[in-house]
Amino acid sequence: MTALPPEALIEARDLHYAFAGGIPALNGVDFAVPPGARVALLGANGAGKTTLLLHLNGSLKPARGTLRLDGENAGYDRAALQRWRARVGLVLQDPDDQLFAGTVYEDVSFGPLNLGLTETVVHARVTAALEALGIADLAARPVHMLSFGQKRRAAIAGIVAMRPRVLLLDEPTAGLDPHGVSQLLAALDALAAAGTALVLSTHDVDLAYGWAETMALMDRGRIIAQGPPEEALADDAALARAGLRRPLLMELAIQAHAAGLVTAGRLPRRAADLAAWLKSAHEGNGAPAGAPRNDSA
Amino acid sequence: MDLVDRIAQTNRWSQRHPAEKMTLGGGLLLLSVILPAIPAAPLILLAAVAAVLAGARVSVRDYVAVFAAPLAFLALGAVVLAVSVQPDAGAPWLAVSSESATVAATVTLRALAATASLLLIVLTVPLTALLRQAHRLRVPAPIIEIAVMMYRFVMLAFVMAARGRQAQANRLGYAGFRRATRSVGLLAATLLPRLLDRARRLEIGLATRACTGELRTLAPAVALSPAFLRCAIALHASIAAATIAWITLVPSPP
Repeated sequence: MTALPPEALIEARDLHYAFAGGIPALNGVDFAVPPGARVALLGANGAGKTTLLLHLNGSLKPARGTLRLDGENAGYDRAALQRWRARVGLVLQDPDDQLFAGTVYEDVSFGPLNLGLTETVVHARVTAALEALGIADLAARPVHMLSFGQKRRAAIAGIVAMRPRVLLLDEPTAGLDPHGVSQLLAALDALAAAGTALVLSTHDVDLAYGWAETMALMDRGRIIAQGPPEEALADDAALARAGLRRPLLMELAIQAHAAGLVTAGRLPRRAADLAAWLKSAHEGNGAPAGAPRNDSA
Repeated sequence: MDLVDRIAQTNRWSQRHPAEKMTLGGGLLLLSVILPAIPAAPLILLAAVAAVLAGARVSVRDYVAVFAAPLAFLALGAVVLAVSVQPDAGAPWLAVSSESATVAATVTLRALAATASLLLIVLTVPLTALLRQAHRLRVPAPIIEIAVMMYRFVMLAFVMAARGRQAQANRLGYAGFRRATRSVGLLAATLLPRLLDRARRLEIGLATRACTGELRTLAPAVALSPAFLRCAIALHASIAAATIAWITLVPSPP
């Protein structure tokens, strides 16, 4: 069992769950989300990422294991679930599973109204959420007249307007064009800056590598590696089991190091970091000044 | 229906207060029923068509596409009213008398004016705005919620059916009558289970947003334009005045 941070907002221990027919989905998951964390959940299709997110939001109840919210055991009665979902928001993979109202504005107002807020507060939250996701101009648009990317942002706005402390996003970048991904990441950065903990499930290792502070690799209902990206992605066997590859930037840095182009230093996480890293090495410093070494390289 | 919804949601007046457009369209509809068809119906028809095309900026092509079905129905009705069957020996079997022609013209004009007035409302008031208005008028919430969900799922069904049909067509599913019939049947058979699956997933989606069982939403308040209402009432009054003047000044045929 992995050691979990003591101050976690959500803490899952030894979660087990099986679909109808006994098909195992979670096989003893230990997972924690500390306050303000940026966690990427990676794994192949069917690894259990969505099932884990549905557990973290209380939408599924584990067959075995415990879930704790702010240090207290999670309850599954109506009132407890209300409190849970006010704190932990989940954006589903398919926005059509979430959008139901006539217009974008109406749909985004649904969650905050369920929290019992006054109409004035709800209007303010809806406006802020639409602006944060860059879709204020779509407020009056019917949801069936949105593009896929717009629907996705509307679905995220619907959860953001509830101002959860933890935001779970199931494959939020799937189907988005590069500009849409950039807009989404900018919106997520703003949420993270405001103190929201973010958990994002994805297959996109390059995106996750540049974005996450912590990565968790899943395979067949288990978390097989967890930690800072450089550590979580260091194990070739774990990567192969999770059906993943190393991020291009990480691979380049490792190859550059292996070829003796650079001596050491913290692995670059973004293109600009890589450029600085190589420039510094080219100038004979071996690594950017002050950058910590990383043994996994 | 998809076209009607698209027009209603995207026309220039779509964000106007529904009461404004319902006053304009409803007033014209009332006038088309209570005023003599000549000369009121052509005036009402003209006003309703102008409001949709010039005011709401609905494209002529879209308007014709929506108007085509009721127009065809009215044309058929006009023929039935105008033509009489005469089984007498020696006389032509089909005949059009001046009386029947007048009746057909009057009824058709009145029906055209009424239809155009109704289309003015249908094409400029989005269903979403209509449902919000119903909520303000204290229509019970469960009725509105069912209407909202029906609207959402009907639109989803349209999208799913269109995509399914395209996918079938890409694999030659509509090459020939027999294949087309089979494809339509298969599409219809898969649509319902897929919609039910969608409904189940939406249930989870709503639960993740702390749904309490009530589908309550908010919309930004839309201001009612007194100027628009004044213009609408002035138009109604002008049509009524012109009709009265016509009746007074033009002698009726003997």
